[in-house]
Amino acid sequence: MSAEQAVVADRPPTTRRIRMSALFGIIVIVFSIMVAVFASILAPYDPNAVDLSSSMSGPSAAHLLGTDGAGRDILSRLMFGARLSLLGPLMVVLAAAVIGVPLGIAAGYTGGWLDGVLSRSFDLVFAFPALLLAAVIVATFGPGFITIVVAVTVIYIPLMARVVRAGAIVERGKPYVDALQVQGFGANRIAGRHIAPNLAPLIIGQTALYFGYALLDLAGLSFLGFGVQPPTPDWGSMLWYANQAVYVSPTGVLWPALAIVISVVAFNIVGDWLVSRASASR
Amino acid sequence: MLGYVGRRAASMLVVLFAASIIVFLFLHLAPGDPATILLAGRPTTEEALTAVRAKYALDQPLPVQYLTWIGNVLQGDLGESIKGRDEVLNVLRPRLVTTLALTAYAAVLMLLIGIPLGIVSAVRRGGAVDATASFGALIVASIPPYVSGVVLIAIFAVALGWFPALGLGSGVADTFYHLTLPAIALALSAIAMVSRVTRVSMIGALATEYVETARIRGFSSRRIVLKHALRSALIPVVTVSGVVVGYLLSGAILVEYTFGLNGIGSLLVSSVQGLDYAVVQAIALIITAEFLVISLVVDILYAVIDPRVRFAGVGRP
Repeated sequence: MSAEQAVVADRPPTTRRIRMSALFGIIVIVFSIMVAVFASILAPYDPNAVDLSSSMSGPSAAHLLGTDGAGRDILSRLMFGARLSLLGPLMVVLAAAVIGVPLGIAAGYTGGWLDGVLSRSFDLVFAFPALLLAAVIVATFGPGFITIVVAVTVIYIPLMARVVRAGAIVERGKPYVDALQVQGFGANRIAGRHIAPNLAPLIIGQTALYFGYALLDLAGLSFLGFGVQPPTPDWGSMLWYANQAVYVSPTGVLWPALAIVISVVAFNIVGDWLVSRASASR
Repeated sequence: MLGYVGRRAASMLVVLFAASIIVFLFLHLAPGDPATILLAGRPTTEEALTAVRAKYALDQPLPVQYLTWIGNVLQGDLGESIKGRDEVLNVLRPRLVTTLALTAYAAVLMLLIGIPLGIVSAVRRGGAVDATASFGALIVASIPPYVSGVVLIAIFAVALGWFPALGLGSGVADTFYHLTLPAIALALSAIAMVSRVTRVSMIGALATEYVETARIRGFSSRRIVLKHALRSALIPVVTVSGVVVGYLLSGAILVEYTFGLNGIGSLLVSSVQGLDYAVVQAIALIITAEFLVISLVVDILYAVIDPRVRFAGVGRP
């Protein structure tokens, strides 16, 4: 293939294909949220109902996905587990947006020393591997759902702020900002009423992407025993529990693993789609 | 070149210093008496509290406390660990070797599989390899090391019995064999990242004028791809690989825990679970230092491959 052909051949995937995969992602996301919300109606069993007489049974009509080591219904635990597994990332991205977006706009729009101070502090958080920072926070405050949500939020605030800062710098250079400044509007009003709404598509796309990553981080921390504690159902701690019994029932690890990976793939696809739409419209 | 390395090393030390201050300050963010936290659930008798306060200078101002703490750490005193009363070096050295071996193994897999995969995808774009690799990368990039580790154990260790699931074995060959499954689990999403970057960068390099010139001069495809295009295409790959190796280092924490390997990461996990704050602090510093050393090495490699970096800021374009 010649170089010229190479350039021509590198067309981006068709919009139709992107739309189809984004639709798939949205369906998966809506489905998992519905399951989480209506878990108490949909789940066939109490997620914590222990039945040692039928422990580690394979899939059957009574237990569609089988039972775990304590004889608890895996399907019901997955459904109830969706609650904390999805609520955690939701809290992380909301907190990261509420704190990170104003910081990012302040740094990007104001510039100067404020930008310098904020950007250096963001860099400092990135100097740590994320998991380490979380480990230090858990060691300080003790394990638990709220602790890991706070720990992961600390990492996502600068991530969000950095993306918003870059967006705000682009917006700042646009003519409408000059026009507003000439009309005598203050920085707060321009940033809050004009720049923030224009950055909204970008922020929403990033939020979807970060939701997926935060889900992975939180599930990983629960897998390590830092977060959601047994017997509360959660995908990360279910994966840990199934892994303890992998020699007896190797298929047990598949269900929580699939739940985690499928939802993260869905959030990644939708996030990529939203971010590329946001950058195409700018 | 030396000046460049010196500047990078100096900024690395500054970041490490700042990181150590943050790790130190977390102790004071926690609710309750720092001395109680440092005792980590052991009986808080009045004598024990006094001893801890004296050792960490807790009644002194913060800067004095910091210097006392960092002095202890630099002398190898990582606190009164419940589990590791042995000499710190005896505990840490074998664990550090395990962690570095696992990370290095995964990094080698990442480069040996990721780069050729990216080259083939770029050269035969739209072909079967490219399509499979792109789709695979999309899925694999969403699989964290703890999930891939657990699933690999279930398939290759339990169902098929090809690999051991736990531990390190004994002897070099056996350790290598034991580390294979963990290294694959750790490297999987890194392979996806490196192959995607190689592919994009290689496509760019193949479209340049000097590659076209080489083609017109009639050089073989193999020579053009491997000697002309690859050299410039590798520059972004080195940058990304450096970032990804840092990511492997923290992923190793999860993988060591999953596979029951006695590395630094699994020590960190058990210390957090046991709320052994002093050990967590020390390991956090050690891993952050590893992380920074790797970025330094990548920066130096970068300057070796791309001379423009070395001369940046010395008045040359």
